[in-house]
Amino acid sequence: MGRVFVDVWNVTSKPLNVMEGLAFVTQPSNGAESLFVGAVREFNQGKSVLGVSYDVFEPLARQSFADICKEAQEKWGEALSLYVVHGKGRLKVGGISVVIAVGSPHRDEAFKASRYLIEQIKHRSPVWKLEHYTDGDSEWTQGCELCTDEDQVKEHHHYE
Amino acid sequence: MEITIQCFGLFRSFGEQIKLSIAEGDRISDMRKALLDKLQQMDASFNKLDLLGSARFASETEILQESMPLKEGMAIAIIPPVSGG
Repeated sequence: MGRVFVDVWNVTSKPLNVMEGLAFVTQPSNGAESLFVGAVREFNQGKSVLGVSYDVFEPLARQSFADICKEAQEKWGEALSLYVVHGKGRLKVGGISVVIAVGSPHRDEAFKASRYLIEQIKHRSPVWKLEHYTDGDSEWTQGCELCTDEDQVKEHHHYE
Repeated sequence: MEITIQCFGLFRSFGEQIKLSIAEGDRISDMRKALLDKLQQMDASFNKLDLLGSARFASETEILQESMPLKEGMAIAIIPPVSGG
């Protein structure tokens, strides 16, 4: 039986920790660990970005992460260990906004579950980005209408 | 009766939360009009009707159905389109 950890951290006081994610999902029964790290990109839609402030409705975000992890275990086996931490607060370019780690007996499940977790989180978790630009302007990114389940996510095709 | 809307994302410009007066028995779907009126009272230039239309409403544990009746004193969150990751 795998282990699951989900949380939201305020990045100004507690930066996300890639190695902690990897360590959490590492178990002797695994043949694979997969890691996804989301970071702030320096350009978005032609604009030069200084940083991003992440706004999160924390209790519902944690609930959505837990729901999505449970679905991944139902799809690819209860042996999966899963770690999801999303950042809240302001990050500079290159700052880590989300860490997803998956531990699994075999690599195929580790890759698939990792992709599933990030795509579902992007459409189903209450998180918003306020981008800060080098010209001094700030703007909330357009976002995607909230989906409530995997079927709705399949109808949206954003894989940027 | 009065309910509280907790603001997120673009709606943060209206503050942490908004107190909203609605009619007894109103459902989430009925409340959107009262919320639009309130937002336009607070900021006459607010015209993002499509954003309000695509927003969902939620408790701390789930997304609420549009048909859910609201109760006096309820606190719910407005969930505009999301962009996590």
